[in-house]
Amino acid sequence: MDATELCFLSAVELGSLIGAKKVSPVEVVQAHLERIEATEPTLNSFITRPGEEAVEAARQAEAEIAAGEYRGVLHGVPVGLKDLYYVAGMPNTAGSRIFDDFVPDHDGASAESLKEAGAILMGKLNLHQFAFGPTGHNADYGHMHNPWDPERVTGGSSGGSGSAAAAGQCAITLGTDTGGSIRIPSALCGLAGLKPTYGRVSRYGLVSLSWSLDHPGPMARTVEDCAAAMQVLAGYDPRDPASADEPVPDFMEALSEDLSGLKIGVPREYFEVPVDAEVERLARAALKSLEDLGAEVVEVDWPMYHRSADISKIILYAEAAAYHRDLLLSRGEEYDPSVRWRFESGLFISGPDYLRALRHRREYTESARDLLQRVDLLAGPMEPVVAPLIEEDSVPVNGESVGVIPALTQYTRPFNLTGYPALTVPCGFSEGMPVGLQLAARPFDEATALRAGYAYQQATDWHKRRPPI
Amino acid sequence: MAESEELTMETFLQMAALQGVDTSDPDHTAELYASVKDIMATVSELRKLDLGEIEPANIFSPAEK
Repeated sequence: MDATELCFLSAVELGSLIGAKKVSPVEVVQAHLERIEATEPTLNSFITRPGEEAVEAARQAEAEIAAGEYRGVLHGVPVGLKDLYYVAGMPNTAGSRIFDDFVPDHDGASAESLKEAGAILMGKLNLHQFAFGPTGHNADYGHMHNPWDPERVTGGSSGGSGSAAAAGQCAITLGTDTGGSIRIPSALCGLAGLKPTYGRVSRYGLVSLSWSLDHPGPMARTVEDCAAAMQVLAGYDPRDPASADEPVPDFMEALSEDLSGLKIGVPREYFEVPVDAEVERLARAALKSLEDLGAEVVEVDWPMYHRSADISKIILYAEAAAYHRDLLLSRGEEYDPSVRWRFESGLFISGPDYLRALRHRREYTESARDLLQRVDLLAGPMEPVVAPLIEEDSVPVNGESVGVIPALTQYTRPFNLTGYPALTVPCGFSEGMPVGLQLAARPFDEATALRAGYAYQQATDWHKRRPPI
Repeated sequence: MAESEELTMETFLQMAALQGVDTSDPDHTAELYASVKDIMATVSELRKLDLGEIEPANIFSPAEK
């Protein structure tokens, strides 16, 4: 098979070919290395590019499979990790030159799980510095570029994870989502991306941005690949104080169920905020497709929705400042200026005001819980606009100018606050750029969101389109 | 500071000094001042809303495994 074709097979397709010994992990990894070589000068997805160790790991996978020790669907499949995930022996910069020389001596939980599954770790992926920004700008390692149009942002903060998976540099990538950082780049780069329930995937060995809002999770071209990754990543880990001791379902098995009996709520409030008319049309068309697939789609009221930006801003800024305080005060001038003042702003939030925000968070979460007792999923546009140009601070939405940061986070923040799982799935193109649909579910019910997203992808071909690069 | 009172540059600089924040670069200080004013406006909005007896969403569990 042609090397580029291999790079655009899904992880599950690759895994099944590898398992059947129709293609070797070495061939797969070498195809991805060539793809990285060809596209990286444009995309800048990586901070640490894969080296000989990736080929060596592929050789080992090949030998194991030849000896009958096939580990499962990710065995021999190339995956990339945002440069916040500890991997033993690989630099972990968090997107800042301050940590150029920091090399963890142990794996974090996700790297550990992926290695156990036999996946091939393909280096470390670029991000908005310290994960504090939704665009994919990075002054230290260079901005990330969208494979659908390199003049446009990838979205962030997991921008390298977005461009790498969309351009066929890796089959699956991992991001982290504190205010939308898995779902934003997934939507803007045309990927499926899952922010799991808070506590579902261990944060052990992950550089924090905001302890109570950080969610690690997968990004891939197909929902099925997100399910396959979740099967490996999910589970209780006593090394993470927030890890949930909840049973892990068979995510792959859940995909096979149809959508009959599924009730999907569409909050009216999603359309009371600025949203591009074409994006809204595509999202509503996707909802109609879900209806055609057997789901019942109803409008719901969620007045509390509008409070998410204010509440999450206070929690995020206060927690981020608490985590970074010592480093900020000693080496603040080495931060990207636009990131530095955001961190420092959090130092001005008082204890009582932080706790007030946490009281609002409880009320907010209860409102979401009530809503999700009446419906199985909440759905709507993932982003109100397509990927902005890299130099843009604001974007036009139906003739009105809206700031890029508030626009990109307006639909993401509710599910960081509640900790509920949320999936984005590609649902069309506007101006040649991908548009996403968000499906949010009850806590620890990722399976239902994945099931709906998978059914939608079986009925559409948006995820099969390839970026021009 | 009263809730209706705008954060002045003088007050901001005093608060920054107490936090140990470096304000020697005028460009950085201007950006930070604007951001902190925005944060204070957000805080004021949240203070206006009645929360009744709702407790913060930060449960401490002494029985963690």
